[in-house]
Amino acid sequence: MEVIKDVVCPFCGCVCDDGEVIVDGGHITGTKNLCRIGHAKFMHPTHGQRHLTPMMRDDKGELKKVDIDTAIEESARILAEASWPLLYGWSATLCETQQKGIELAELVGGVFDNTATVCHAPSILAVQNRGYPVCTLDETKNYADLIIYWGCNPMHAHPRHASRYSIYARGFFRERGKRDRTIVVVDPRKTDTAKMADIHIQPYPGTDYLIVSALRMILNGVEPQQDVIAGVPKETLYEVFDAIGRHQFAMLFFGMGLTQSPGKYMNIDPAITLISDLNKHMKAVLQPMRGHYNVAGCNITAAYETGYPLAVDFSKGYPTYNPGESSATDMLIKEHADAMLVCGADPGHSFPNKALEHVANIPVININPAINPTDPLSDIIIPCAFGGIEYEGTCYRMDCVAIRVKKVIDAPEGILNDTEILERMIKNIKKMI
Amino acid sequence: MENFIYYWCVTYTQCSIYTISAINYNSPHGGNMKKLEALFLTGRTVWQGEGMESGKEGELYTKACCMLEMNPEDMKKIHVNENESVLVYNDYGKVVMKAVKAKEELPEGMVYAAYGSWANVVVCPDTNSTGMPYLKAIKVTIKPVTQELANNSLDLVEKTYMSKI
Repeated sequence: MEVIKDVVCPFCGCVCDDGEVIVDGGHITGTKNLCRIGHAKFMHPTHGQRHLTPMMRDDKGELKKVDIDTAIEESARILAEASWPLLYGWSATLCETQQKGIELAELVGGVFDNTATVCHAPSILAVQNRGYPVCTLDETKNYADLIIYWGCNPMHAHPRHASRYSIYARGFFRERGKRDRTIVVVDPRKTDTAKMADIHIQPYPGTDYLIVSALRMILNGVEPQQDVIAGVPKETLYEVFDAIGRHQFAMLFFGMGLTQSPGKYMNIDPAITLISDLNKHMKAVLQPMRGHYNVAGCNITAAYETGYPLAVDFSKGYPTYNPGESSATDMLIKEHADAMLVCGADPGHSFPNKALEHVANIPVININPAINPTDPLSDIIIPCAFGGIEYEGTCYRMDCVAIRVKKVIDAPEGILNDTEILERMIKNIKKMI
Repeated sequence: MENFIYYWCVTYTQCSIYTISAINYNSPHGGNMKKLEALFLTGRTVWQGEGMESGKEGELYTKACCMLEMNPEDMKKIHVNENESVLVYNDYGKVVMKAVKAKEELPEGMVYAAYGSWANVVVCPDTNSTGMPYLKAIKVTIKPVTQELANNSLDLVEKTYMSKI
C-alpha cells in the first residue's frame, strides 16, 4: 500500500493540489483531503463502470466491439469526409490533448470549441469588451476581506473553494479567516453558500443587470429612485455600500447565475465596470468560477495556438472567430455541423434539446474515459485514460495558474490516453487528404 | 406596481417572466387537476457532482438530476407529495421528474433542478447569437403525473432524442 501525496485533483476549477491518494496493488482504495466529488472521481477508474474496448455502431444501429485501429481509422474517415465538423469538449482533459485537438480541427477544416460555450463563454465575450481585472486565488486568500459570490454556489459546485481560497482560508493578512471577512452572496435562492453570507441579496432571476446598475449608481454617489430594485430593497444595496467603506480588498466571484441568465454576456459586462467603479473606493478584482479543471487551460491553449480562446473555425483554411456562428451550440442548433468529435466533455449531459436532436442525426465520435449520456448518440466510442489519474500533463486552474497533474495508477490494458488517440487520428487523416 | 415594471423590463421573446399562478383545469379523466406555471432554474448540487464523477449511468447521478426542487407551498397548490412524479413541460420539450421539497429555500413560483440531461429537455436553446442558450429562468408548466421516470441518463437521452430519427 502506498500513499501518494501532493496529488492534484482533476475535477473542478479549484484544482486542489493537496490531495493524497491511497494506492494498493495498482488500484485506488481511498483519498484524503479531497471533497466528495474529487474523491468520487479518483474512485471511479477502479470502482466504477467504464468501457474497456472501442465500439462502433453496425448497420442495425447496435454498438459492437472493435479494435482500436478500426475505430481510429473510421473516425478519421468521418472527419476527413465531413464539410464542417465540430470538435467539441476539451475541458476535462489535458493541455497536451487540447493541442492535438486544435491540430486535428485545422487539418479537417472544422470548428474547435470547448465547454465554455455553455458555461463562461459569455464571461470571455464580456472580458474581450471590457477587460479582465483578475488576480490569483493565492492573492484572494491572503488579501481579500470582502468576498462577493454572485450567481454561484461554491458549497455545491466548488466545495473546497471557500476553505482554500476565500471565506475560511487563513491568509497572510487575514489570519482570522472568516472573522476578518465580510461575505456577500447574490442569488435568488437561499443556497447553502447564501446561508453563510453576512448580506444575502435575492433578486428576481435574470435581473442582475438592474442590481449591478443600482450598485454602480450608489458607488458614483447617485441614489436610485426606486425603493425596491429587482425585488431587492434599496437598504440592502446600501448595506453593501457600507461594507465597501469598511474593507480594503474586494473579490467578486461569479458564475452561471450571470452567464446563463437572460442578458448573458451583458450581465458580466456591467459587472466588470462595477469592479472599475469599486476601485475608486478600494482594491477590487473579479474571478469567474470556472467549472472544469482545465476549461481555462483550453481557452489558454487555443489562444496560444490560434489567437482565439474558443469557437475557432478553420473552415476557411485559417482560424476565424465568430461566437454565435462558430459556437458549438449554434453549429448544432442551426444544423451546420455535419459530424462531431467529442473529447473530454459530455454534450448528452450538458447540451439543450435542439442541439442534441441534431447530434442524433450526425456521425459522432466519443472519446471519453467513462460511460456517459453522449453514448446513445455516438457512432464510435473510444474509451481513454483518465487525465490526472492515469496519465500526467498540464492543466490550468480557474485563475489561469498552470499546474501539473500526476499519474497515480496505470490505465487498464489496451486503453490509450486521448493525446495518443488523437495523434493516431491525425496520422490517419494525413494519409487520406 | 414595481413588480410589474421589473417583469416588463426583463421580458424576452421566449423566456418571459410573468405573474406566476397555479391554474385549475378539468382532467379528461374527470376530477379537478392543477398545474403550476413556474420559473425553472438550473444549477449545481454536490450530489449531482458526485453522481457525475461516479458514473452518469449510475443511481447517484439519476437521483440527483431527476429531482425537481420545489417550494412546499407550490407542491400543495398542485397536490404533489415528496418523491411523486411530475411532468415538466413547455414549447421546448417535456420530461418526467421527481418533485421534492427544496433543500435550499426558494420563493414560490420558482423551481430548481440540478443541471443535467433531465433539465436540458426543457431549457430554451436559442442563443441570440451569443453561443449560450437560456439555461436559467425558463418558463415551464408542472403537473402531477403517474408516468415512470427514466432509468438513467442514457435511457432518457435515447428515448428523448433517438426515437425521433
